[in-house]
Amino acid sequence: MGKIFTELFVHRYRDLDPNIRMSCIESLGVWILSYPSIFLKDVYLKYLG
Amino acid sequence: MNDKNAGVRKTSIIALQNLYEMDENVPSLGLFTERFSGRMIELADDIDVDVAVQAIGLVKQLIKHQLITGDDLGNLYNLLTDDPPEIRHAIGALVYDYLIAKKFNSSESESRGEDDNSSKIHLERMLRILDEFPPNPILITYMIDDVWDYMKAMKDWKCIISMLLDENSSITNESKTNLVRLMCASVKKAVGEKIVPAIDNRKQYYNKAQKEVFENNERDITIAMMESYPLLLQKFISDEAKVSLLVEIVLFMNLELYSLKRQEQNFKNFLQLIKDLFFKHGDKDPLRACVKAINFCCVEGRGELQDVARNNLKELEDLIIDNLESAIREVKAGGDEYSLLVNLRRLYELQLSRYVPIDNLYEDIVMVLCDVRNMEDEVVGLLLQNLHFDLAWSLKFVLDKESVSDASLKTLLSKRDTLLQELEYFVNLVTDDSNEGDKSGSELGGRVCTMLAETWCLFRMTNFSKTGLERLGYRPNAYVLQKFIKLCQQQLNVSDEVEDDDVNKEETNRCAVLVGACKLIYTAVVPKDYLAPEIISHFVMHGTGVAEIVKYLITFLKKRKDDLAAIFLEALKKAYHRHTVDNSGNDDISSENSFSECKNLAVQINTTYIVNLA
Repeated sequence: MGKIFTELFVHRYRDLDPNIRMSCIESLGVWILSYPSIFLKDVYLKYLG
Repeated sequence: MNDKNAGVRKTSIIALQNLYEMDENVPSLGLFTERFSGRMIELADDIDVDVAVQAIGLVKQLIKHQLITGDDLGNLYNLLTDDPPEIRHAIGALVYDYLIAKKFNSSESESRGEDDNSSKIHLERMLRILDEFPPNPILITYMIDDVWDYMKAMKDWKCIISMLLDENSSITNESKTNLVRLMCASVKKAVGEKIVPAIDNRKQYYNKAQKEVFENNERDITIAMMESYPLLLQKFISDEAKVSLLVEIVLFMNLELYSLKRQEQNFKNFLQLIKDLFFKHGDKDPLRACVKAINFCCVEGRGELQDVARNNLKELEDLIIDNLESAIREVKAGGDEYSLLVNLRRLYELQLSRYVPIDNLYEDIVMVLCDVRNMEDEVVGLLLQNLHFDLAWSLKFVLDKESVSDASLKTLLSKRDTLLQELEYFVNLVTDDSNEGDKSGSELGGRVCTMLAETWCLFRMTNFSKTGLERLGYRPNAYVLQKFIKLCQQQLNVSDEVEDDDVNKEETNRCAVLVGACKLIYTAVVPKDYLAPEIISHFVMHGTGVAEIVKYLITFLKKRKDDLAAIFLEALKKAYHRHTVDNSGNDDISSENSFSECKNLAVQINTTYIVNLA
């Protein structure tokens, strides 16, 4: 999970295509909801902000 | 939330909404909220409507979790009167939950208030909010529209009525006016009427289920009002602001129920009260509301009740005519003009919507116009206006009939000539050089201008050619047309430097004069190059209303394939001529302003010409 985040999410959430950025944010929202023990932390939340 | 793409911002807000939805997540979101709550509130005013609506929902969650306070909301409430209805309604939901139902306040939660009194409590809170609004009925209507969907208390007719009728209520008079506004607006919403102007202005269509809901609401309103309507009218009969709104509620009631539920006496009572208040007030709003209500009862009342309404109207007409006869006698004897003025206003409001036989009064009106030349402008304007309406209605009857008697044609012609003679007298009077610059004549001047144009259009030759009624056709002579144009110019040139209160009045007057003049061009009463340049030379000088009318005229001229270039050039010449004449003895600043107006006109005409060429 961590690998997906560091190697995929952090690059693609700044993608040129807004659809990809949107997809990233949507997925992050789902991850935080599904795995709050891992993702409900400011270090991940900041990407929503 | 800071992405340049609206879709990304919206996704982010929705993700956050899902997080804040679960109470157990809130403690872990503390630092994040502290850092980003400002941005979340900012997004409520986002350029994208969807983002703004979602952000308002998010802000509502923050308030619910007490992560922000009312003070943090800043200017968010200004969005209550914002343009997109989606944003207004989202803020309306927030206001309802937070300030009216107080759902987020644990000590005053909905569960505690949910007893018999909850409607009253909610309405009182709503009134407190409305009290803080500037005393502008339009803003208040917006607020009511925003909250209406969420606030059941606004549909608790019995509660609203009892609050209005309560003699010991602590509500202030101003709040009661707001409560009447709220009731009237809520009644309109409940039966599917719009209370704020829609952006698209298209007619709204409702499905069967919606129509059924509206009918049920109409029924509920009528039943709730039946017994208390006369009491409300009686109580507020002297209060112009309240009573005008209350009277309008009739239009949204199902009058058939008065017959079905054997409430004829209440029907008669409220009709009598409407008649009483028609004669108690003299201003436009209450008078117009009364006329609408009485007309509605005459059409929508069932069986015997319709007869009652018609008799009531007949009595009202007779009474106005009696009052006018005695008022005219009084004025001729040198007495006060007030009674004549208010009764003319009443007759005017009636004649706006229906024919009132004033044959007995006709001679008196003409006589007072000719004999008493020093009456107030408003009185003169109303006398002429009532004559004009009578003429227009008489013409309509003649045109509607299959065969017309010679006598009725003669009467109509004599009425037409009398009115035109009087109007021409006043055109001469108002355009008289000794009167120029006298602003007091401007309202009468505007009225005379419009009536002349209307009458010429009604009786234009082309209307009657090949109808057997050619005798009715009329063409103004060159002298009167010249005077008319002079009066139009005078009206359009009335200084823009009027007091704030008068600005709208002047603009409306200018628009009315322009519409009248444009009609003469549309209906070919005047030669085509006669008035158009004069009108176009005022294109950018007096605000949007005037500009819109001129745009319509240009489109019309283009469709008629007129020589736009020549007309535009003439318009520019006229504007420049005005500038040179008006500023011959003036200071540099006003001369500079007037010249820059000419330059603006040239730019606007240039753009319009190029667009029309394309």
